[in-house]
Amino acid sequence: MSLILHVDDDTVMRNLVSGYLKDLGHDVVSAENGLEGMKLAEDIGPDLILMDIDMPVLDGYAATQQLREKGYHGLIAAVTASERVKDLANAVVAGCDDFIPKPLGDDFPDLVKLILQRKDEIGKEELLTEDEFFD
Amino acid sequence: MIDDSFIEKLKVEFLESTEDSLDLIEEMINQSLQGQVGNDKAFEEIMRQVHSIKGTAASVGFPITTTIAHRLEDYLEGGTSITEPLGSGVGQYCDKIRGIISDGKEPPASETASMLRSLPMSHDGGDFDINVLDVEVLLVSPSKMITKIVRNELMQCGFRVVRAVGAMEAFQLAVRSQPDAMVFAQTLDELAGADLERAFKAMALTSDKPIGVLTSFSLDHPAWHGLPEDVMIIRTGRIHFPDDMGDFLAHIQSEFL
Repeated sequence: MSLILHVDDDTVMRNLVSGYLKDLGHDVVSAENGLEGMKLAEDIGPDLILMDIDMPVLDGYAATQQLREKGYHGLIAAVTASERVKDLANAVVAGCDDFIPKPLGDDFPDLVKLILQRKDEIGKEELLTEDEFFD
Repeated sequence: MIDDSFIEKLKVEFLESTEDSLDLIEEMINQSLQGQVGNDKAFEEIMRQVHSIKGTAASVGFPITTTIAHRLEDYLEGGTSITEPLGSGVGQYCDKIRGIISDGKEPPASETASMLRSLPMSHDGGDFDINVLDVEVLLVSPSKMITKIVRNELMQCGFRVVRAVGAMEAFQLAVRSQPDAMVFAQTLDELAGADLERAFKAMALTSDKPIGVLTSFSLDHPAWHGLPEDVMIIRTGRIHFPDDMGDFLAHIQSEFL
């Protein structure tokens, strides 16, 4: 069982993801924008953050980057409807470990399980800088 | 396993929240037209609401609504400012989604393509008086610049254009929109354009449709080995693009006009 923070400005999406994750036996906390998510992450130290990208107040890129700068070393997965490699690369550069595509499909629980399997490897690999990523 | 009653509850929530989103979109348009809200702020909010509908709809069982929202995103990307015509076009998209909300269900698959085609298309085709034809071209390219150039060429000839950025999105749109012709960039994120063409040529739905591939490769490049003979190669660059694109446009026109 893991503690998962889900950050998304869409109420239906928050409820849907929360339902899926609780069904898998995880504890779930939700936030409705990047700023709120960042504060909650600092308070609760989740094992995984599912981060929407396009949000008001503070978007997913900025929230992820700031969390990494503040020393958060847990897993962060971008949840995005974008298929553009550039957007996904930006998410990785900001500090995301993986991504989950929207709309969510039946494979969502399996994707979360796969990402959480990497929990034990945290800290073993250094985050890439933007220059290193594009090298 | 999540039970059906939970999903049903979420569907109701989705319908309610989407109605709120549509109200907000229309309010932003009206306020922008009246000068009460800045153009950029209104555009940003509208795009966010549309993006949210696109991401959520199919997750709770409304895939056609996701496609409508996708096309609305495409429509909005063709504009730079909120005008009366753009507001009117957005209103038509909102009406379609409202219809689905009102029914609580999506139209049958047999009606989807015609419903999607009744929606207005991006209007960045210049100021020419164009007779828009009922011929839809699926344009697949991750590049905004290539999309803008090729879409403009197609729209100048009166063709309707729907855009996808990658192969998976192209398959979804092709199934739901049933395009009359297709243009793929050779360099795509997940699958080479030539492979995408082979796949579309193998599907009954699209096997007899004209297909062009946009590329900077020369005609003797190994990527073209085994490509169906009727697939047209449209070379980019100043030397070849005008002629190759012209040939492709003439080919579509001969098929449909």
